[in-house]
Amino acid sequence: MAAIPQPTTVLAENTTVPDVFWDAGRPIVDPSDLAAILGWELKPEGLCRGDSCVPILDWSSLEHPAGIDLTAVADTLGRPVVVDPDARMVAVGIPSSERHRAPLNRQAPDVRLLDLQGAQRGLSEWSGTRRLLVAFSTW
Amino acid sequence: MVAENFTVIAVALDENIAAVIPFADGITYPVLVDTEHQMSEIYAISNVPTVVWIDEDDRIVRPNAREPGSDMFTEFTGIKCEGHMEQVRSWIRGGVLPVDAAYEVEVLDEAEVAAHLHFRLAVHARRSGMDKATKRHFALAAESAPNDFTIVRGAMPLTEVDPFGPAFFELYGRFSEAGSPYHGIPRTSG
Repeated sequence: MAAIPQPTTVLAENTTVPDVFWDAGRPIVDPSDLAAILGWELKPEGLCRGDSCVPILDWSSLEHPAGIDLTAVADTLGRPVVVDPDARMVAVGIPSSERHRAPLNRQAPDVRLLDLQGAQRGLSEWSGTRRLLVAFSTW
Repeated sequence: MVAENFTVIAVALDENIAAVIPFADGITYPVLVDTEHQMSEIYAISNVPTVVWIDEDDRIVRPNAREPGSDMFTEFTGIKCEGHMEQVRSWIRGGVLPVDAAYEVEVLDEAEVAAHLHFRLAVHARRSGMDKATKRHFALAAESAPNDFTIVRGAMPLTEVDPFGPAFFELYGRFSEAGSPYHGIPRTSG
């Protein structure tokens, strides 16, 4: 087990760089960092965001002497996760329910994009208008 | 094509905004960039050009299809837009949807989702100058979604591979042999 926490980049909705204890490939974070990393807090009733909580069925899978296993938190929230202990990076995907909204439920999710000046934009800016969304590329 | 209560929104699945700017020259509708590969993941877009029709209530009324929104890229795709544009006009003017609008897009499978996460890690590693991690995660992404052009070809310009060179033809051959898998309405003709 790594004796000292290492700054680790976590890519989720936002990019954060919390201190992480890497233990045999498991990224262990301080519970107080969870809200900043994923937007969910650890409470006695489970993982909570605002008023909604996801119960934790197996606390032992989350808890670690140094903190909380981030991959187990992602699992509990139904979010896919990929870790790279060597490069100290973690990527947490969106929950499958959100990934199913467009293809199965036919709802057009908002997505954060950049304009050509580098400013943050969102597809929802054009809500109320019929849109032809064209994905293209320079490659 | 701009009309009242209608707009085209072009989104480049690219990491480098500067590379997109020449493509937007003279274009009057919004051109945006999906630098984090979030749109391609959430809309299950596996190739370009992909067009999605979205109505005023944020409903997808015709899902992913390989149609260009203009002839802006005909030079690259060999696909002209006129047939599709006629369908779009019928939708805007009369609310008419083509039969294929009911097609149900397949969701990304577990490996394809992992590919998107590896891609994001690779892009981050590249920005941070971590060469080995960049190569490792682009390779893992391509392994996980070998027929997804947004992953495999999208990685080429980021790994000093010519996206119009031998690596592209290798991808195209593999993709064709696999039956041209695509998350969206299958194209019946060019």
